[in-house]
Amino acid sequence: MGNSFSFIFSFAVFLNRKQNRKIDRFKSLEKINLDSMDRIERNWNDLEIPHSMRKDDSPHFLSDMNIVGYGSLLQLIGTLKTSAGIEKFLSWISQRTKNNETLRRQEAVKELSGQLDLRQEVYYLCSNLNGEADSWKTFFNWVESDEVDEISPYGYWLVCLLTLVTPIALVTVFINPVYGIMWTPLVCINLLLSANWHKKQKTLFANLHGIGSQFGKYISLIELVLAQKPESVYIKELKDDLVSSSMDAKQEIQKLQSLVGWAGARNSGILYLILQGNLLWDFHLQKSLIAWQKRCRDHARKWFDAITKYEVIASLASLPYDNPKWSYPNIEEARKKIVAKQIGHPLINDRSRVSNDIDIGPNGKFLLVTGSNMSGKSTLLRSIGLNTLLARTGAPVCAASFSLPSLDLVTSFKVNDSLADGVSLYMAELKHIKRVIDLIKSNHEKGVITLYLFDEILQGTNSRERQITVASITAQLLALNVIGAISTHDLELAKVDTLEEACHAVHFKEKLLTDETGTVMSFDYLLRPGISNTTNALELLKAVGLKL
Amino acid sequence: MKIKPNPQIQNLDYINDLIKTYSERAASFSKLKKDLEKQCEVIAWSRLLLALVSLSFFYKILESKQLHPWGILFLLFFPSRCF
Repeated sequence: MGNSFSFIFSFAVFLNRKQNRKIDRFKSLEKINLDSMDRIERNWNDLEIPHSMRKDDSPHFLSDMNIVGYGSLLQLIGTLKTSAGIEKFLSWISQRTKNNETLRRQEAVKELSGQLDLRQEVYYLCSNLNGEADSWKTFFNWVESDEVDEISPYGYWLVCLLTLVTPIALVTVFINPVYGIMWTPLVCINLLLSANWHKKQKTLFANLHGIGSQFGKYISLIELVLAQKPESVYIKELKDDLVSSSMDAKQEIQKLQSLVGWAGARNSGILYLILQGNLLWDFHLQKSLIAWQKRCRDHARKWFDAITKYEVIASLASLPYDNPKWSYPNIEEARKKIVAKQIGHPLINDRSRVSNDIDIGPNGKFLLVTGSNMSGKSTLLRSIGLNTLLARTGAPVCAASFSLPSLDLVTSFKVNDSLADGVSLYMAELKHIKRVIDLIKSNHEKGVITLYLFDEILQGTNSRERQITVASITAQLLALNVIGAISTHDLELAKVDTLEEACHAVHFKEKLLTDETGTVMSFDYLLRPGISNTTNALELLKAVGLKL
Repeated sequence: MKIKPNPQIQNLDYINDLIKTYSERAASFSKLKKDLEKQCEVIAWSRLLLALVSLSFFYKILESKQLHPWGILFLLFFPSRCF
């Protein structure tokens, strides 16, 4: 009777756990939908900031273009949850890609954009994957390593023999305790063998530390991907990566998950000693893990990479769905100019965004953006940069149409002085521009077009010398294979002899209106041809309450 | 002087439609979650009741000194499973 009740009790526990998992899923899906609303409204305060590791060699434009951090592109995409997914996205955005690859990604993004249920299921499953990047690095280093501490075939024969004999000896002890004389030395031999191999086996199992619990979730993701019937070549290839004729990612990861589960016995104290003393538990696990490693050495990275790429594509696919007015860019290798109709800043809410038409290039020409403070110069430059970066990932862009060549991007927006390096703001800016020009020259030699975006450069010096320096730098750039845009307050720059021919000047303007409350300064953020003829620095001084 | 930096906020139908879609989906998942939470509450009480009944039986078996090995296992795992 007691056993029957305990069976029903165990069933109730099982049912309860199953229901709890479903509750967690619904909770996550509810949050995903609420977050989507915040993303559409660009309510940055209510959205999680995805954690991203900034590397020393990361391009400067990651911070200049607000790719990472608060109010960033990464926060707008938001559904990227795994550290591998974020890294993959940043690598796509940081590197110039072959046009063919971008088009393939575009096709995949288009396909997934309409599949809201599927995408949200991917976001939910990925939100549960929280393995540290370092743990994955250790895992892949082990999987791809040629050097493994393997027990010799004769040694394993001995282990198998001991595994067979020791439990038999144990059974005999139950028949007659006198036979303990056989069992006890066998257990001692087993434990001595275990002590001898303990360090090597501990190192082997440490390779799976921190990610062991992730495999089950990856299996769910693989099942989800394999259940789809994709039309785009890119997703078909990702699916093929998961199932090849010789290897099945799902089966192999399931086997690894089981081995990790069995290895969990190592943490069970007395039970582990019993298993190790009688069955040489770790030796069998070691053998199976090394066999798995040898079998999957050439495939494991490909499997996890395919899932990571699928996560990135599914996340990018939220952009066209949430922003139906955006368009897919037209990238042509042979193109010499950037031409955009109604280009806007992707991080500004649709309800308040103002879009403009722009035309940058060809080589030997540059866009000069002038205008008063707060009029929208930096925002325009960031709109161009961010959309260029979005285009290379395969995502749609915030424009009615956007045509561009395959190009590299360099920027100079935020440069800080450095107490640690003992450099002033002007020196720090000069050093940064030197690095930028070196990169442009390197691209020039390779025949790669570079787009440069300079926002109010060389602010750390007086206006007369700044004008001379900016004119000199711009003249150097015009001789290279570049197209670009410069925003400045120096209205005289367009009149410098060497630049007059090359510059295509546009400007923003403020309006001064009078209403019942007094004078109001307003901005329409619309781009106009020519050089700005208004300034507002003195008016702003008064507006903040300072005396002139 | 006042500064009016932003243009007027536009009321865009497609944005309103998207917000509505997501809002309806969030509400439906929230409802499913609440329904399951209610079910879980019932299961949790049943678990407690079953656990008490099972315990009383095992107590009787313990008293009679005829405890089955499965009973020992059950008693070992009981505390962690119960809560």
